[in-house]
Amino acid sequence: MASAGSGDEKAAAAAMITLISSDNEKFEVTEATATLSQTIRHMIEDGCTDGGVPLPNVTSKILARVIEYCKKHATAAAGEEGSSSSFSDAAFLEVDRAFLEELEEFDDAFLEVDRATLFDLILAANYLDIKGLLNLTCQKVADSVKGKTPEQIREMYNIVNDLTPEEEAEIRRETQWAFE
Amino acid sequence: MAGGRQRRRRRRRRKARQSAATATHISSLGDDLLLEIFLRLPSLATLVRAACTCPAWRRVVSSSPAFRRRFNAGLFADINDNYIRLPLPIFAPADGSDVDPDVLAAIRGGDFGLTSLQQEPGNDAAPEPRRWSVVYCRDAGHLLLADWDAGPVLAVVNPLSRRRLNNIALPYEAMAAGRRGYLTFLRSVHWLSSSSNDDEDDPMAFRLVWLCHDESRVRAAVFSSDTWDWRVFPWAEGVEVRAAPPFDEDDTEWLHPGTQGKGGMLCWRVRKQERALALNTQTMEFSVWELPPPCWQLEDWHSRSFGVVVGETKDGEPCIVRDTAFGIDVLMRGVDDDDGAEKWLVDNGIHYWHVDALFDNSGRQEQDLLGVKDGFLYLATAEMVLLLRLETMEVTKLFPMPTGRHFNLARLYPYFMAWPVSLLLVA
Repeated sequence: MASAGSGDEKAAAAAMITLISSDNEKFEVTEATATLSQTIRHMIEDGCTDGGVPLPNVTSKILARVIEYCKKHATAAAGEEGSSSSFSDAAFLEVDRAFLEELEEFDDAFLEVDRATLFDLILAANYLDIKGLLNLTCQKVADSVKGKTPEQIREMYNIVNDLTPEEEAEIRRETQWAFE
Repeated sequence: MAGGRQRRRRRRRRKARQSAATATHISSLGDDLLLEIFLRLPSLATLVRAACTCPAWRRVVSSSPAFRRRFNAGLFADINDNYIRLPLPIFAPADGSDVDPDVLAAIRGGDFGLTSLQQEPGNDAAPEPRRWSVVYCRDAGHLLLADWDAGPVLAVVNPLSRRRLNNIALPYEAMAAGRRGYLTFLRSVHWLSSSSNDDEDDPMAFRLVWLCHDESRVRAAVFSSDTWDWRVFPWAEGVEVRAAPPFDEDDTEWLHPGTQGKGGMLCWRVRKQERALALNTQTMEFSVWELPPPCWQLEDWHSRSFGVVVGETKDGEPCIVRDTAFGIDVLMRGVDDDDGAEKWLVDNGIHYWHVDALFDNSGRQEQDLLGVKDGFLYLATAEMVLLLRLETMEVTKLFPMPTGRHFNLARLYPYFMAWPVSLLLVA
């Protein structure tokens, strides 16, 4: 495939892959969309995608969101590659900026989900090895922790603090400021 | 007590289990993904707080030296970026030789990193990046910083009490009205505590004085904490500070930065003249002080800018300390033998060649008169910050000038601990 001419490339881009969620729902996506996932890319390269790709770790609800993300970012990647020669530098930069802004808006809206879904997305992004999505979702969780005391973090994420009072006192001795 | 806590904890655990059955919990991410999240935390302080959340999180961090290395590597660039974007004043303890545990406790407990400037009062959102520069630092406890590009606006912070007041907008346009020729705003603002007026009413009350001048006249604006507003005074017409026109258009700054003595006496040296503009902040009246010529002077000394600071002696008498080309003069109010008029007369002085500390290897060095307080002059050379006792003209070395790029370009201000308000309120 790597040695194929431009005609074959188009055909490859149009080739469809079937992804199968853990609850047996089937999703038809283009190869360009699917290969944002390194895991699926490797499966395609190994030629074992006939009859669909089963993803036993991802539910249909989450897979639908992941595909939504990949579609948007696959067009972004294609747009960047395709436009470089057809615009003057200034016009290219302008288009580039508008595109990046649109993509940022998409990402922001994409992250408007409840915490459980966010964790599911992190797990899916990790399993499917989608770097951009993993970065996006992990950053979202990291941002939510900023400026919060341990108690506030526990409350937000429903975390049980099973420190013994002695252990807690030990930690506080060194970093009392962290609790204030 | 302990039983109650355990029950509460058990209940919480049960609640956690219940929600885990229906929704994915953060603990299902596993150690590696947790570290991916921790890696994206903005600072070590945030990481420390997160790691204090539960033993599992603490272990994840403590058991991975590789993670800690990656975290450190990521942080470095970020801190540098912050440093360039928001340079803030740096405090250095003034007296390293005499380590007082209580002074150290006050420094340790105070916000001398001025972290309160990183957040707008009453607003949790990240503030606009601002360029704060010090416009007042002395003995009121509070520090005034201005962002001249935005507004302009004043921030009022007290590092010791860790309090920050609401920002104060400077009355830029009201001051500019009716100007003649160019307009220059002085980059210093003066804080007058009510206690400095021996006013027992309200120790929290304060006034601020800000000055501007056009090609020949000055005007002042006074901010009062009672009304939380500025009052702009008219252009001072009768005060002939400058020589006759035509004025040099290129020379748009004819006043040196102001200094302040006891009882709210303010004084600005007129550039290239042996005169100073004084403001009595009780009456808001300006006057011009003629200063006696220095005993020794260079032919071109007018073109150089030497410091003149106002202050008070050990006994509380107003005095002026002046840097001449050859030494330091102390001027006091006195009656001139020749004409019987009251004026500023040279009372005491010191020649530089008598003071080793004021010389470096290449001869006499430039120094900066930082201020006079209670009979002591604070001054800085390129190498040393010094204290001069006006009574005896004795020089003491305080501490070496901090080195580094930041300090070479910086202006130094002495900061004195102020009385806490709780000790000023009459019981």
